[in-house]
Amino acid sequence: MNNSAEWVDEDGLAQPKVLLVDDDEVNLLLTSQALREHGFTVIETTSGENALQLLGRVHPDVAVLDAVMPGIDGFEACHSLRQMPGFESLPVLMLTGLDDEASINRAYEVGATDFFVKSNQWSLLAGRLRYLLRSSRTRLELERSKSKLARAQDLARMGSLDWRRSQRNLIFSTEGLRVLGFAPDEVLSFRKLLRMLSLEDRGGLLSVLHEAFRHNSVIATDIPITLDGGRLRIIHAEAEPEFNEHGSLVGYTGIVQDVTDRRMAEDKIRHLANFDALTSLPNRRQLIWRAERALEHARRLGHQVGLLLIDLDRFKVINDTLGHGAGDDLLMEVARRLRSCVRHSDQVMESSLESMASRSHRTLEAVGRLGGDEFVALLPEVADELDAERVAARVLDLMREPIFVGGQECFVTASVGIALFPRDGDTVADLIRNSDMAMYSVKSQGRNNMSLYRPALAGKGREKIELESALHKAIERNELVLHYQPKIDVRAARMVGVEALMRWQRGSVLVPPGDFIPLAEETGLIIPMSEWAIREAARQVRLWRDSFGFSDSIAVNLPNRLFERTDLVEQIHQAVTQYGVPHESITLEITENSLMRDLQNVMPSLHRLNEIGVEISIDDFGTGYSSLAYLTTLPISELKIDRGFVKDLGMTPQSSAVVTAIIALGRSLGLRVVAEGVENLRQMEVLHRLGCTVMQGFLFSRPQLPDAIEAWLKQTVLPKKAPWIPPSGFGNDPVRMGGDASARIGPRA
Amino acid sequence: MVTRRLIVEGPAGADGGGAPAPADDLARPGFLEPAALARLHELDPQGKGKLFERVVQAFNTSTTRMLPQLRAAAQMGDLNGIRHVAHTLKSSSASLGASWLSRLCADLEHQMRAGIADDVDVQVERIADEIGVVLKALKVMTERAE
Repeated sequence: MNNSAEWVDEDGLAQPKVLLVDDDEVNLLLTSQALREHGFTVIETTSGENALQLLGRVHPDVAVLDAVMPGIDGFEACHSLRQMPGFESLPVLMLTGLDDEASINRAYEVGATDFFVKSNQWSLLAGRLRYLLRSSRTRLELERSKSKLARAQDLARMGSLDWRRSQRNLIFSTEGLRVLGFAPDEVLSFRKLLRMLSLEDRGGLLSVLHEAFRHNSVIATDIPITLDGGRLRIIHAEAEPEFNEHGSLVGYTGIVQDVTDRRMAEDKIRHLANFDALTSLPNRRQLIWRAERALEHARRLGHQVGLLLIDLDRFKVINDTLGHGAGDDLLMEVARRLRSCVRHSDQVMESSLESMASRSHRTLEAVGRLGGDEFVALLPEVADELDAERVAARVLDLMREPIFVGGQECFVTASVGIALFPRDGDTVADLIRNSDMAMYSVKSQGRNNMSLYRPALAGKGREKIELESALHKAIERNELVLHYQPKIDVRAARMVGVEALMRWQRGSVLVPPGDFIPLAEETGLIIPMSEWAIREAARQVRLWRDSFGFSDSIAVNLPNRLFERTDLVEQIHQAVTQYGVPHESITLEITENSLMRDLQNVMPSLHRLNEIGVEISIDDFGTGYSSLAYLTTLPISELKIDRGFVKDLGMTPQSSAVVTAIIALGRSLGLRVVAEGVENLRQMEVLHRLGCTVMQGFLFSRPQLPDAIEAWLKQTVLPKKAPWIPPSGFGNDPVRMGGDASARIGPRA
Repeated sequence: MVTRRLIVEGPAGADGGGAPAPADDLARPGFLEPAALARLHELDPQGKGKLFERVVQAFNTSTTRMLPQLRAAAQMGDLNGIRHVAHTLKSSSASLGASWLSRLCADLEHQMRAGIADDVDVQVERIADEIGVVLKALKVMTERAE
């Protein structure tokens, strides 16, 4: 009789709670006993009044009401119960008499879920209650899932759509109607729907539908519609055909979804990928794409293409003095002016391009921003170079007007290089490179002008221009690197400092300093490059201090014109402060020649540097014409014997005479003396014998990357495993000669 | 009506075969229908819950309450009141197998619904007598069970 365990499995409800209401106490007792036997929890009461009061407290899973009771009877109780919040869908079973059809009907009217004829066959009642609970739970789940679906569709701005061949109207779900901006009860005819489309789109949609009907195929299309309030939305409609048992089409069923936001995001992404965020001009990628299309057209139609590379003159100065905000404003204004120089089209009609319509390539014409202060004007069809020059002249002309940014008027000029297809290059890359070269030739001839590419720019001159162009970008592209060469105190067999030497990692090639330092000096690029070197050296000091307690200094080579700058001291101060290292950890090297050439202008800097603790080393000593009188008064700390003398040591008596003299001079002035270019043990021994103990050269280590220096210290110097380190006794003097090194930008080491 | 159906059923717990049995003779004064008693027994086979005693007690209590109500209603000519009491008493007695009493109540209820007030006093007294008989029979059964 008791099958409760089974019920648990089936319903997942261990002991359903029944509210049992019957004024007949005998029946109440028996019924509740029977239900308990069947695994229910029963709350009994004998009147409708009590039942209504109990409801809120006991929260039954199901209510069983005797229909006929004095006072509030079952019908009235059921009716009241349905009005109470939370009991709208409580299963209610009404107990009625067998011959009482009126009661049965009334039971349904007042909202009872079902009726049950009173009997003493109580197990039947238990079964009916189980069924009631199960169906109520199923209904609840269905309702929940329906409302979840509706909510999901709402969130996705989606709704369903149904069309029957036999019916006139389209049937949309409430959500579907909402997507289209209609009230839930709206009846939508196809005609009404069509009226929401523009005339052009109507035609498009109709042809899509005709095509789908003809092939009984799936419909998937985006439809731009105008809602009642005039808002434009893009609706994605997708529907599948449905067939009857004979295989003929009976209708379509599918969804509509508002995809406006997605479409806008896609457009935005496309725009970001193809247009410069600051100026809204086509970016490099878009420009190259356009240029490639333009070349395709030109090849086919046999005309010329012009490419103008426009670079602002001295833009960096404006950026540095007025700030980046002003710089950006200026670029925007320049962009606006450049746009007016050509028949600029923001959008390219790709479809018309495909068809190769006669003059469709004209829509490719545009000004774009390559990056920084570099712009390109693409002229998809030019008759001759004069055509291109006319545009270039317009560009230069428009720049003449002052631009008001950062609270002041700025005069900006531009240098324009012109390359023509096919004459100056067959590919976009060639044309850009050659127009770049033409542009640089303008720069080197004083800026603010235009130049056509000439093959004469190629050859030696071309290389130089290319090199200069590339060197310009080396700093911002992080292509410069410092290599380090140790300075060794051979008595103590230990490193006492390093010299930093600049290298240029240009692509896969490591450019030696001799190939770019002279050019850097010639163009003035040496200034920002040296400033970078100071910061980089300070950064390296920090790293080495942290990794192995480096306490010496890194020497950086500076050209004399940097010493003339009044902000040098500030620059160094900022660099060491940024990395939290002492001023003493940077040493500056200046060649004897450049020092003596401009002594008056350099002197103030040397004094100030000395005051803050930055030591000065005189490089290539012995090759210049030092005034010994001055030398005694200069705030310097170190002399570096030129490698030329070291090289000849032990071979010509003159060389050792000079070296001896320098060592004596250094000693008497209290200066450290360092020998450079020491390549073999013989040189080392001679120097040592003459009294110079700090040396630098291939014998010890070539200039290397920081990690390699650290490894070399660990593997060679510390374990004292090098030919230049004597087994014992030789130079164990722990006296240090000084904690510095010399760094150089120059081509040596 | 529930009661009538129960009365016509066979004694051996025939589970509602539904055939309108000819034997109306089970419904006679003072007789407790075995099938109904068997169902009662099924609800508490071991007698652990003392169900039978509790049911008898409940019947006793409710008839003690209802009989005066019935008489009062009859006196006042309150047909509706009579009908309600008769209805309740009808199903209580049917549950205990008191088919005759149940039929008396059913007839009265039916008559009240039809609005016929004749012979009400007589019928009420007949019911009162039958209640007495049934209670006595139940008492005997209870004592026997103990």
